[in-house]
Amino acid sequence: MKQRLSSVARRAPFAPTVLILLLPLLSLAADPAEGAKIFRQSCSVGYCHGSGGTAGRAPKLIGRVYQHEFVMKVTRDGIPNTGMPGWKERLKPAELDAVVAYVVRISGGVLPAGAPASAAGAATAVAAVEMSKEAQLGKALFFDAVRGTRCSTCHALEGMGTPAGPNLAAAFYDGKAMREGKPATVRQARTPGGDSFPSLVVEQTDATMKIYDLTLPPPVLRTFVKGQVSFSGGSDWRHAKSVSHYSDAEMGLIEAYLRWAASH
Amino acid sequence: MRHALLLVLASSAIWGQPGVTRENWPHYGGTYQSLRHSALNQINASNVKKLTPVWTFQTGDTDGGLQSTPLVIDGVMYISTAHNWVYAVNAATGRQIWKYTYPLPKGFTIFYGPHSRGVAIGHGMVYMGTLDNHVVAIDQKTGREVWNVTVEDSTQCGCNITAAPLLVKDKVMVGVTGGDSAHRGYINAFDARSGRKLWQFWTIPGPGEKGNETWSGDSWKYGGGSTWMTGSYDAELNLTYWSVGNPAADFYGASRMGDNLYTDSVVALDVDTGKLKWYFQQIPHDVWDFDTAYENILLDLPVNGTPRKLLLNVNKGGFTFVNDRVTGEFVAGYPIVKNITWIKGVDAKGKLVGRNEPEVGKSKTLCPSIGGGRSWNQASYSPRTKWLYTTAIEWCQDVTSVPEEPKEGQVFFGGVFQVVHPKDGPAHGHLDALDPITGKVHWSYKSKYPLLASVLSTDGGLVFSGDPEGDFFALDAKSGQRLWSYQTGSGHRGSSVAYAVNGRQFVATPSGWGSAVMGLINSLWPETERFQGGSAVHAFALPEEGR
Repeated sequence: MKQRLSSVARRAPFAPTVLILLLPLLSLAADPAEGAKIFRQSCSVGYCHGSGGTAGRAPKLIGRVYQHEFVMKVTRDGIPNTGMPGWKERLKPAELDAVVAYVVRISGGVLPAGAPASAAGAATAVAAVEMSKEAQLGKALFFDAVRGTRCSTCHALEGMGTPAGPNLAAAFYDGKAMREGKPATVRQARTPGGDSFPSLVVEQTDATMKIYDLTLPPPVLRTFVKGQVSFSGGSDWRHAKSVSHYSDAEMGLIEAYLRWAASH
Repeated sequence: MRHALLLVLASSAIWGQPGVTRENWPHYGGTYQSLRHSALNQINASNVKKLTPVWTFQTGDTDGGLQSTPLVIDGVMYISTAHNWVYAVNAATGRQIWKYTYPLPKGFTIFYGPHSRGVAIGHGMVYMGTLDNHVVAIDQKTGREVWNVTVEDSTQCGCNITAAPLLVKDKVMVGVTGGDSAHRGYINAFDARSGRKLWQFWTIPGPGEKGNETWSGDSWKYGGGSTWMTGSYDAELNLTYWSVGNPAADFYGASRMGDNLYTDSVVALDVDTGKLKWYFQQIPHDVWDFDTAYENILLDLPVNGTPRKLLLNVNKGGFTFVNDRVTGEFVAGYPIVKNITWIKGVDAKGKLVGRNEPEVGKSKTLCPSIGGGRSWNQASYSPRTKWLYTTAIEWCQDVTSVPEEPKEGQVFFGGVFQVVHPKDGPAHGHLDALDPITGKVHWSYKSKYPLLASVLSTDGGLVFSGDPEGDFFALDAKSGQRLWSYQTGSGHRGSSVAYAVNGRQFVATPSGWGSAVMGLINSLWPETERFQGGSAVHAFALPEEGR
């Protein structure tokens, strides 16, 4: 991770120029005390950057002389496939500005006058506001970790969940469909070993076939040699069973969320 | 002929010794008992000086180092790498047979660092947990994926899988990280052939379940309790033993008042149902991040003259607990480090005495550091010497508790810390031979840096491990004297294994520096920042003519 960050750091002076041009230039005076506080709560924690940026699992930040635009980009977007998450949806724009200013300062870098602020956080905040109270509650139920099995065990929305079931952003399914749905795409699969299960075909190549096994949640993506599996026309699989642990009131809220998702 | 010779050499030692490995290294901990002890003795204290490198296998996946325990079955070695590549390699020659590359999604955050500590093998398949919290089954002969199941979306839970699965009968059991995130931990069992989920054990009981009352308010929802190391198994009792990690927030406990079951506990589960048979909580209401997370070593030894089925667990706080593995009853406890200030000790029932807790708004020096009185790298137990061989680290930290609210799937730590040297001298590591019941130290091998590789012991009277500077070394199991070493070119954070192919014994070690605690080490020893990364397996044997 450290090596990867270093290589990004070397490219940094050139890479984010476009990004900066796209952002509104606000001359927010980032609050130093606020930046230190956010850093303590979000960055120095765990095995990450350590107290005051002295290094934990993540790289040391003190003395690295980072440029503001580089720190802003990395803090906003994270570094893909490392432990560094993007903070643009986790922090408010002012918080992002404050913590970035703090990191630049402890790294020994110089803060430019009128440091650019993070527009992405603001955009996210606007998008979130548009969701009704019902839809927000429905979203919480859709992703409700306490339940173990929840809607997102089989459906992905807003970048989270397993995309086994239909894309719910593309089409709206109401409560009736969720209770009584009997999708024709689910077929009973049979293997030579005698295993029989409700299935959804995901991908076929000349040699192999990838199939979701829907016997029990979570769906299992199984790969077979082509021709190894036979299908019968229908299946007794019903969506109603998958949502039986949601009450009618909860289903109403989930419907509100699905309506929102399908219209965005 | 060679084969016969090896068997003769080994046979006198292995009869009556369950839990040791022989030609194969079939499970993460060697065997289900997690002894990490091999009955092979072709390489021994009298000839180890002649030990020679036979092959090196470069995985090419260097970011994150190599923390794996290679498995060896019938002359084939299976290696998982930091980013979930799996290799099958000829264990005698090091030649690649197949490679599987797990399709990691692009652009996601890897929580708890890119690491894979191993695989499980059976039913003609290789099983692995992944950095994005899936479990996959791979065809053992071809390296093709057979099934792939999402345990839970890692972007939501802030968790993933780095430990090797435990395969027992038709069940692939898998734990999860997430103990420093706002997350509720679990252990899952999947059907080995189809990947269908068979049972789930929540490490934090839900409302209405016994133990939920040990969490104030809604704190149970985000209370941590990860299961980030591989469990053990007793076939006679049909019980699987797993360690449950710390509660979250790690250093701030006021919002989760109570004992916080089953965090910092060893849990014994029925393999067929996942139901709890017994538990023993080492650290009620942990506020130090001292994880009861490591391996459970299953020993059969007499205590006060009575033969007992025991379970030995070293925790991150540097304290060892020994329990009866039939009932969970506390048998013995002792520290493995000198610098231990978070408790004064334990009473006759194993209850903590003299808790010294972090405080809000006030820095306090506590030992050991969050990196652990020992890290997760495993100890070995030799039925031959009847000693436990474990690494340990002398270091401390200045820690302050900070109130924090949980946000699902995000870091939930509740404090800040800075690693510091102990009062009585520079921080350092050691590898000790201990009596497993009393903790009496028979010898101690001192190391400048923390030792972060697992320990392997053999019937050849040898103890193997590696250091951060890249040396893979052999110690005399009786005296601790260093007998042999080999510079592998990168530091050690994995687990070495012993095996045999066509009568020739090998010892193999991963090398490749990279770890969650690397930053802690950098802050005490700045020069370690320059230590080279890597990811390779090195195999050693005696020269053909020397045997």
